Amino acid sequence: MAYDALNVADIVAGKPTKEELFTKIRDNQEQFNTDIQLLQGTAKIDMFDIKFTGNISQYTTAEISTFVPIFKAPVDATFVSVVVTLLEASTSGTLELEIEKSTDNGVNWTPLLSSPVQLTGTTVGSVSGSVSWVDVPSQSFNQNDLIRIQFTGTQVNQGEFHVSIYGELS
Amino acid sequence: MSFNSRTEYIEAQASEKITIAHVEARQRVLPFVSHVANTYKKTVNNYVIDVYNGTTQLTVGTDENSLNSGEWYYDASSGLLYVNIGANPSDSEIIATYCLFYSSAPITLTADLTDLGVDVEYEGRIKRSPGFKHKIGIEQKLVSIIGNGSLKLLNNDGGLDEIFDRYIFDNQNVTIYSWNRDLPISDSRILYRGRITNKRYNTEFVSFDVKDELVDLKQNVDLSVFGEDETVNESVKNNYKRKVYGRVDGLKLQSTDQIGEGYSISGDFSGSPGSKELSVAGGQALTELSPDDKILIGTQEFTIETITSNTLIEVSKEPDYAFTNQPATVVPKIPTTAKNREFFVADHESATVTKTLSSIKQFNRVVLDNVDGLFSGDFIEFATGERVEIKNFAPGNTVVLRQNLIQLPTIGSNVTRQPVQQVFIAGQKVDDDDFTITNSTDTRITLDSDVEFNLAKLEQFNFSLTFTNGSRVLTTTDDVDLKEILNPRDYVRPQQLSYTTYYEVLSVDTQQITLRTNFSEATITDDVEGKRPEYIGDDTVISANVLGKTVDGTATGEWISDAPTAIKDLLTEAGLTEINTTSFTDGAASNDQIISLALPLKPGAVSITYKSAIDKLCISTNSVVTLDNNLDIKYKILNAEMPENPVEITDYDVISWDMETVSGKNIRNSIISYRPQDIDRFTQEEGARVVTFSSDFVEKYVGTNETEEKTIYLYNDTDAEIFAHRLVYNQSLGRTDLTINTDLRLEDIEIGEVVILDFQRMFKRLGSNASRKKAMVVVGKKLDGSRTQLDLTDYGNIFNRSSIITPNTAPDWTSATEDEKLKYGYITDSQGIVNDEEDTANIHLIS
Repeated sequence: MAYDALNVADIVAGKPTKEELFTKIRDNQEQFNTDIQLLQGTAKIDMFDIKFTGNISQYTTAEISTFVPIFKAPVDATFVSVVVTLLEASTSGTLELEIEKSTDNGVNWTPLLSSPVQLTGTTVGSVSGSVSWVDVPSQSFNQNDLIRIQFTGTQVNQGEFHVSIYGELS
Repeated sequence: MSFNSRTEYIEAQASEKITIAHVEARQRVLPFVSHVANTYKKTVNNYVIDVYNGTTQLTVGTDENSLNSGEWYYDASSGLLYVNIGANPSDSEIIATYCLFYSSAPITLTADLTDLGVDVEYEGRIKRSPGFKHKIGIEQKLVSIIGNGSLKLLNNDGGLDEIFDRYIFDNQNVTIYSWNRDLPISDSRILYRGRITNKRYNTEFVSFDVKDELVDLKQNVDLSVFGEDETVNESVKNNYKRKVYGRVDGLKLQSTDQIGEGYSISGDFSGSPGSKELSVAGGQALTELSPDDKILIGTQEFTIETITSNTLIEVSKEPDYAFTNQPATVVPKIPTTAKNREFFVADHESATVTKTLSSIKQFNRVVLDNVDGLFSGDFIEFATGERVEIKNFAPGNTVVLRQNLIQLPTIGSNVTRQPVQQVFIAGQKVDDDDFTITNSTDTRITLDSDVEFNLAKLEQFNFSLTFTNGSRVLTTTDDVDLKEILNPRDYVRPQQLSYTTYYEVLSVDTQQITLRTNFSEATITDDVEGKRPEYIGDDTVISANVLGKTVDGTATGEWISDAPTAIKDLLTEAGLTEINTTSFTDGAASNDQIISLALPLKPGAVSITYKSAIDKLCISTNSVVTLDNNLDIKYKILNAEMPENPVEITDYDVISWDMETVSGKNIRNSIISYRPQDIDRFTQEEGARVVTFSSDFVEKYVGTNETEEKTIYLYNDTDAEIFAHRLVYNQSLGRTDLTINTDLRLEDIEIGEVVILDFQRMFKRLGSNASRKKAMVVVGKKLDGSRTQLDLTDYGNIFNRSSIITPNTAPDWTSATEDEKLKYGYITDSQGIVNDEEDTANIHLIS
């Protein structure tokens, strides 16, 4: 249903508060919400889309973390997807990463997850499990906040993997 | 004279009005004599309508010669009562309920007042009868007032002397009818139905005080208690189990496996004087016990000092006397995960909301068949096993999820919302994977044994330890007192990443830690990290957000979310059967406010009456429970709604009327507490949300700054805000009450009905200089068979001031009639005026 403008003549003083007037207002409001949802759904913010390759096992988790660029939020938004995919088989163990946010230009960092994102599968194509945020506000960030990934664990003979994190407008 | 209809009868001013009464009474009957086989008979003096064997109600049979066991039959022509209980009823407690027939004139009528029933004699003893009298307590904030009256029977002939004391009249039913002998008896009209609450006797009269059926609501809500079959402490035993209506957040849960005075542990204990060591055959001491725990063996209590192995412990004192292979109980110093795992939620199955997945728009946008019973912040479970939080809703039953689904579920599969969500231990939210719900007969949750561990934060400690493969002992050379940092049941591990296993601490010394199990990885000296869980004890506060009862009592039934449905459930539970179900269905359709009520109101509190519970729901939703013209219980919302064709009452319809305006109770401010919680997550105390409102209108025109505070049992913020506004709106102006006395012409008007008054000498109403017509709502009614008295109120003039959504055919203001201006709402200019008419100020308001 398309937007249907209210007829100015229907909303001048002395006009009855007709049922059809309220129905039109309701329909328009539903249309606005539908449009907003459509825009929110399509306006994704790509934050991290990184393939980790090479001899990963030779690096510590701290070193791997420093290789990842820090994301500076261009708008207020909410995380909606955090997925780690194994592209090359590992031997055993768990690949773990934490997501942290800074609201003071990197002076202090706050963990956003109540437990790290974990990739426990070691075969090609294994993906990480569900994400658990500390609380609802932790899943959102404001314009100019800094977001970074901190690896807290890698698999034995860590294979190549891909990290995809994106959000959408709040 | 004969009447073709009740309307003719009403219009005949001089017609005879006969009052009829059915009075019930009970009496034990015996002895019986044999009739046939197991059927026995007894002559009784009154018409029998019900028979009990003790507390078991018997079934009425079809005739005296074919009664099955458990049946009775009464032959009105012979006055014989026949009973078959499979044995001689003289040896049992057979109780008959009689119906005694009275009228205001001696007459023969059918017992059931149908045209084809059994004829019985109605004794002409009625001197005075209670009329239908019921009233909504507007002064009492919409509380239904229990009606009462008196049935006065002539006894100057001593005819009631025989039965006054010998029959049991207490709490028995009385039904009063109005009739004219020129009408078919089936046209008699019920005037009153109630229960006898008192009786009086003198040589002239016998009278019965009668209260209407709402008196049954004065009984307490039926709640069961925590009993001996639950493992709860003495202080909890006999506390009421809760019932939940709607959605209640922060509901305090009750542990049903508390530690109390201790619980059994594994193994058989042996000890003797002269040694502090106790052996534990078959024991699991390393797992189950910790230093400073207290164990009770027989009558001897010990404090544990050291746990040497699973089968050997050392206690703080030698035994006073020897014991061999004795069981023991323990009261742990630090609570353990062996107890306080099962928690009682509600004494009924709770609503599990199940939807069907219609389509998937995006990974975080799914469309369901409907979204009733789902809230932002809820977790819903998909057929893939994924559990995702709802962020918000979009048009078309679209649910926006907080994060993407990892696996896409099949279209048409179920999506489930569990009734218990957001479980908190103290203020910490428990992961939904860390508890399970049992929702059969009642609702309980069981916490996983690792829930405290999972909630504890991983900490890096500022000391190192040497972890030795195959040893339980960890040592440090750092300048640290480990006893100030760690306790038994904490967990430690080396910080190095390849060490992923946590080890539980058994005991702590200044420079040494003993584990419960051997360290099984490569020996290492490393900085230490670990967790220090807060274990759940008997006094730990556990709370949860809960969806309550369902209509049919099953977990998958329709969730009781609104006030009318909850009230109907309470009425049914209270045993009331005469219910106007349509009014409750209509009420639910036009009132989708979600309620939030737990009974009793607080954990461990006393129960409340059904009436009190219903009143709370009525007040919260601006509605009332009253009686319709059939004396069935009716639900009515008292918002400013106007029927398209309201009844119009003129001077010709009334004998007299009296009007009074009540001022002095105007308020400007409201402070509304809503969504009451046993436990506020953040304060860990009882709490509620609060919304306030102040009226500019009252400030300008009335000048008072009075405030009213109220607690309501609604869940949603918007509903509470509307309530805060309406409370002030309804009390912003004085309330005009009107009493009308007339004959039977207005007998069909029901309580809750909005009518228009058009009296010659009434003041001009607010909003019009041309009309004296005024809209009011009926809040009370008295009907005695010949007269009708109506109590009406304008409820703060809301019907004249509120803007009503009009039909699409409503005319513009300039061409509307005075009646249409009274009924309809109109758009105002920026000054709140219509057509520059000063009388239109302060009407056409959104209520």
